[in-house]
Amino acid sequence: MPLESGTAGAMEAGYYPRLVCALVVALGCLTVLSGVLQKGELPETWHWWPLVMVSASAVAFAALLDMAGFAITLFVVALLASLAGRLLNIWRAAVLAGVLVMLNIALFIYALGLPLRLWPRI
Amino acid sequence: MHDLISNLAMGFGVALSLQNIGLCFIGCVLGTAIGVLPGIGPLPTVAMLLPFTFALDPTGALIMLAGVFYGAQYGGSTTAILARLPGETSSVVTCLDGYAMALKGQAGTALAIAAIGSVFAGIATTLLIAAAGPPLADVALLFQSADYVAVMLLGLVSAVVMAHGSVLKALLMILLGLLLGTVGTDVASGDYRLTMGLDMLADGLGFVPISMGLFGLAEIMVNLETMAGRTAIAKKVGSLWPSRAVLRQAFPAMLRGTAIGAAFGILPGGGPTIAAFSAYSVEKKVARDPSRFGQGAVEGVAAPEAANNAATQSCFIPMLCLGIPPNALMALMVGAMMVHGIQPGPSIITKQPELFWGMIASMAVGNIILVILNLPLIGIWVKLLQVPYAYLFPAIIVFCAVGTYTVDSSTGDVVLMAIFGVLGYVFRKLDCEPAPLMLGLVLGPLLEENFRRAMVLSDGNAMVFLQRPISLGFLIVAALLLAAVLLPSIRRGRQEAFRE
Repeated sequence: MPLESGTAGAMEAGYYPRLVCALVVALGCLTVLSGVLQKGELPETWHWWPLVMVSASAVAFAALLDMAGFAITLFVVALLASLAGRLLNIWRAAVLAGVLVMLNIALFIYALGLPLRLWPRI
Repeated sequence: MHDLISNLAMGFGVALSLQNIGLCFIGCVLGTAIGVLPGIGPLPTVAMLLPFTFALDPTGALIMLAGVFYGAQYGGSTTAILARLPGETSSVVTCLDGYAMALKGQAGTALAIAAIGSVFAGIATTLLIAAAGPPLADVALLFQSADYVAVMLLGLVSAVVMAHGSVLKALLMILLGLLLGTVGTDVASGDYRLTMGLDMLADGLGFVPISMGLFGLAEIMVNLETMAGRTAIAKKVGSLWPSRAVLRQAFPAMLRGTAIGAAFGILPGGGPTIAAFSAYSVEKKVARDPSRFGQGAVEGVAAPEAANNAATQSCFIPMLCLGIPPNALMALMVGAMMVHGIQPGPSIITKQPELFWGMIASMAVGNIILVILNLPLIGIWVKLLQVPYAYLFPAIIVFCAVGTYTVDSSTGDVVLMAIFGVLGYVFRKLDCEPAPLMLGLVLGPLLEENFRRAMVLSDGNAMVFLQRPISLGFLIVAALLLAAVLLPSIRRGRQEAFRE
């Protein structure tokens, strides 16, 4: 069911989003037009590895937390994250991940007392 | 005048309590640390700290968060001077002359001038907020919905003007922000808007996951591409005491920097970065011998450092007195206040005098703490600079994930952060700045609410914005600003067309 627009004097939920949308479409068309008419530079090259790994580590946190508990989840997140840079070999990354897990447990669970389950549910 | 002194005295009474000094100190230390470290700025840091502040009283929470913000300006200059890396975007221009001074063996002088400029600007701006805040709040009490709409439009326009690169792209980023701001439950009717049927979007898109994604994760993704080779760190700091001649040379620059910074901070859409850039270019224009700049001119350090610190503090004025956050960081501050049930706005000074004056006084206290932290203890920060990025960024990612999760205990927010991290990366590749988007997102709901109310009151007549003098004034300024950026590009565009 589409949102009602209402009138300017009595706006419904759909009025303002449509207004903004119309402006986005208008300016978007202008941008396309200027892109076609002007010769611009090509966008910078993309580097897929950091993009994928950094996002993957954040998504891993969301996917694992409920099931695997805080400690294991953080270890996986930290491991994935440190591999994103390709600056550390797997062993160093694992050590770093271990240290980060302990630091975060100390900070968030013991110091702040957040209600997070540390270990997986058995 | 008498009021001012007694109010400030009350403020210092609050700020100098043991707990608040402690919080101010923690904020300043954290701020300096993230300022020194490139790749993490005050925005994700404040976002990460939000869950920690829930347990504090609101004054203490704000004192600490403010400390992070202006502390980062001090730390950022250290990295800029010693390693030619901007620790913060607001210290980019400090690299030019600061590092040149360091190469000449005057790193100590440059650091001292940066710190003195910052503390001077910090204390001057503290006094400015104290003096200008209450009268501004009185004016703000006269504001009606239409005036609020106009002042926010002015803010959005000035964000466009201040964004570098294409005006069109900046406008689009703002509109995109406004559009993202409409996601969630419509306040008036209770309808779900643009939620795609997801329950987690019923409360709208959170600032924290979005800012962590756009500024935290995306920053890391970009940094990891260009990790090759770091500039050598100037290890010899040299004497920290600037000579009297250097001080005399730097002082007028500090004054100008402070004035420029304070002005840019108040403007919605402004902030420390644009303030520092403007202060630097003004110095170059007023200098008798502009060719010295880039070769280690002391004014080139003093002015932008004074300006960025002044701007970080003066941007509290519109947030506290109008309830309009001029940038994303102030929006997080508003969030921190709302958690405690405090609504910033014109009445905050009379309703929450301890909070208002305590926070202002804490800025003076914090600036003095920061000078002590940054000058005698400079060696510690130099060590911190040597921590390899390979160890640093995984820690930032982990903190971003946990921090985002703890704000609402929602794993959905962490996914949202990842999505906006990817988006932030794409924006950077396309030369679109994320800051205007953030401002649009922040102001969007406020803008809509006031726009709707103004239109209801005027019975659907859009002329109301031109009939009220306050609103008309803001709109004229906004139109002039927009014309000023558009005209030269139109002219240039025409010239190119003629040549072909």
